[in-house]
Amino acid sequence: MNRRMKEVTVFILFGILILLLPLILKSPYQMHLIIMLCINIILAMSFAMLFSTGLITIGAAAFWAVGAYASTLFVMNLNTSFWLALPLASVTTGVIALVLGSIIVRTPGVAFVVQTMVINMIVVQALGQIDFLGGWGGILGIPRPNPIGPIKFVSKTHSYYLILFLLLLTIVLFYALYSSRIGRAWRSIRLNPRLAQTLGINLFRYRLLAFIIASVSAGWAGSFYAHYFGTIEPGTFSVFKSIYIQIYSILGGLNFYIMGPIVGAFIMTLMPEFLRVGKEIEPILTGGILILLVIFLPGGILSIPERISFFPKMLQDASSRSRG
Amino acid sequence: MLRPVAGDERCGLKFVMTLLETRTLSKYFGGLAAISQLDLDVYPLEILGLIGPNGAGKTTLFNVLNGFQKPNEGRVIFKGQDITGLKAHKIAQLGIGRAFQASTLFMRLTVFDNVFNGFHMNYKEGGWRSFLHTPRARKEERNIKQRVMEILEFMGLAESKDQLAQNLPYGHQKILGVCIALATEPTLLLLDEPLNGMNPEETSTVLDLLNKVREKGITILLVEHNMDAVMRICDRIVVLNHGKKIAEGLPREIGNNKEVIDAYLGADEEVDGIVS
Amino acid sequence: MTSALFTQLLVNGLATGMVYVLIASGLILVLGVARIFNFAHGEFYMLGAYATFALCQVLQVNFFISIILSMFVVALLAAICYRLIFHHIRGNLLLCAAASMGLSMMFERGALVSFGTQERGLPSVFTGVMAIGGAALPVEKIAVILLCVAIMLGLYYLLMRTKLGKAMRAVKLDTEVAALQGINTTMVYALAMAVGCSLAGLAGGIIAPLFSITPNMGHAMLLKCFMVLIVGGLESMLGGVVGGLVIGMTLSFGYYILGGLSEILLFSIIGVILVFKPGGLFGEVVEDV
Repeated sequence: MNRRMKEVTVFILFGILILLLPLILKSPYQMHLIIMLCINIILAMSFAMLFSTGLITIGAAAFWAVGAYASTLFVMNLNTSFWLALPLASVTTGVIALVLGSIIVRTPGVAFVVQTMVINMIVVQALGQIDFLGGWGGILGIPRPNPIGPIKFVSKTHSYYLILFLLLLTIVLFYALYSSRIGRAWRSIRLNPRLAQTLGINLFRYRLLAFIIASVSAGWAGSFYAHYFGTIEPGTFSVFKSIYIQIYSILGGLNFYIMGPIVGAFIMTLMPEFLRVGKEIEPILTGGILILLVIFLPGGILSIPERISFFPKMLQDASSRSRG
Repeated sequence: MLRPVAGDERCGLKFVMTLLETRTLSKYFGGLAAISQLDLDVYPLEILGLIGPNGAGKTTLFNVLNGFQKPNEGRVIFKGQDITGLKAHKIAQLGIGRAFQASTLFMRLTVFDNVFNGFHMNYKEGGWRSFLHTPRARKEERNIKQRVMEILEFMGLAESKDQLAQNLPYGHQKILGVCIALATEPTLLLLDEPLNGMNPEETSTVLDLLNKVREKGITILLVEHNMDAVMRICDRIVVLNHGKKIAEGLPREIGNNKEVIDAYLGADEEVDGIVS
Repeated sequence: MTSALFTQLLVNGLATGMVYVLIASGLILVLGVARIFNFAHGEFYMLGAYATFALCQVLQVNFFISIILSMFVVALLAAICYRLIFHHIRGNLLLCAAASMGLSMMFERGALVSFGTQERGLPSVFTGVMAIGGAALPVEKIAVILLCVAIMLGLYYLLMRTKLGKAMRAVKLDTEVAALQGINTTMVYALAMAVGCSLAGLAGGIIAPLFSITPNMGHAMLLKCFMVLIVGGLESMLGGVVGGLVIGMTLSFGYYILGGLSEILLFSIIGVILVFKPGGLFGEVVEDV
């Protein structure tokens, strides 16, 4: 079997595994983890898309929140069906991203990072202070997605297939973008903005596009999350969640805009479960492992194949390889 | 913008449309004038040399022409259109390309991908269709890949096409910079010290390539310190000092110009020798 | 508003503000000299409070000595963290962010496991009120202000007059040149981190008698710290002072006038500042193009 056939076979086997997962995992808690993993992957991909244009955001959770709250309001206050609320919430997130992005994308670099953080803080604060939006206690009793025929979305299995569908859709969308002229323009901007300009690339427009798409994808992840989890509260969408989202990408590998988030989110979401220690001590170990991974694999997990072929260089000081 | 041009002694005056002209162009940084009241003409299909001691304002001029800086005074007119103050990407779209002084490349991409990215402006099936990967878009992508190879072969980098830009020797990196600029299919190409750090053999190769580039219909504005090369390849030369034009004309005239020689000696400059 | 009330709010704001100044200055120092953005900075504040608590309450050590001892503990811990962790990834802000988040997780959970979830506290060392300008001002708050000012003066002296301070400033300006001048940059980075984090630890000790001590107090403080940096700029010590005081005052007067909405007001003001001065009031923006 040649290499290509091997790759395709692995791919297919993996696909079957993912589709049959609910039959393999019996416990609802495990299914919940996988569902959260899928959400985290979308969020991490959102961060990665902005990173692909050279922008670092610590505000992804804010748009996750916008999607969640918007969708909740559409369904609970305006009596729309979830299936309409999902696209509407996405559009809402997009509009807000357009407005905010137009202002902050003009100043890339550290200023942008800070501005995304401020946006995140404002959003969380506003959600907490405004009683109409549920205040700090949040909104409870958010209904499940409206049934399609016999599928009632009450069981975790149904929710899983829904988020899996959303995730795959997001992946296909993002892959199409990255492999198109738009993706090339983004990479050009990231690698050398000056040179990109001389190639006729409008930095502002392409960065804004990335900002909007990234935010919208966080938005539809939020819409799903609200109707799956049933409860949303401002604390979930804090700056710290945004930083976690960053870590998913960093762990997986910042240069891999789709696989990186998948690997990184997988590790961070599931590692606590694999560490068979008390729930109390687990974050200490997780934190420690995170630190070790960052020091020894600054390029992320996915940089391992490169490393193996450069084995002697591994003996060098890790600091010389940390320029990402 | 018809301007009289001194032809050689037999033809007398000719009238030619300028491709690019600057009128009283000035750029100040703080109180210091990097360029001052500069009138410059560039004619179609010529290779115009821009020389002068360090700090004479050559790179600033390029930055203004490119759109990276806005001038404080004056106008820049390109193909009859006032482009003063336009943003860099707009100016690139109008047909002014640039190869930089320091290696300005996509270091972590291969040579091939560097030039491929250079074709950004030249898609017909860009935007949505590229995203949707329609058959036409994919066909165009194959077509562009071919054109990339054409440029690489033309400039002699075809063998290195899969090497990372950061692993190329310095001379090849400079050539790659020109390749990327060529991919933008410019009308006017601004070359910032392309021969910097090259040995005589490499220099000859590059000079030949520059002539071939001109034959393809591209006008070249060249900043260089290598006087020998400048004399060999340029049709005309403009000399800057302290942001002002101090001389303009044919190579042999410039070589004999006392002011020019003074400017270089006065600036404590290391020059490869002014050939007269 | 009576002048008495005004004075009370003012002192309140100064006290809160000076604490923010202290902590933010530490963060700015580490960021400026060692180029590390330490997301665990709030945890050093928390650890300082717990250390002071442990020494003072459990071991019955004098309050002031406890503060000083906990400062050394925090400084030592910070230096160790630098050498083990940040030394390898210094300069890459994203990696430092990730690593410091890991550190933050470890510290917070470590404190939780060691001290439990219940709020701890220290009995007040300064009791009573002073009458100034017709207002009854808690001596505690005045003490906080004075202590913080004293520490900031000490910091100023360190940075401006001592050899170490000069080395730090040299490194901040240009690490390569500093190295060429014979300065041991690794030592400077480690010490910068030690000093910066101990500022946070000191702040923790100082407020220990005033506020309850919990394992997650670091998080909330870190967010306030970010705000100080946003307002004052990321690189400027003066900015840190101004930012801290501005925020302290705004919150103090704001709570009185607006109640809970004062935080949104604060964020919105910050947002507006950022639009016009993206680098903060005292900061500079380095464009990438």
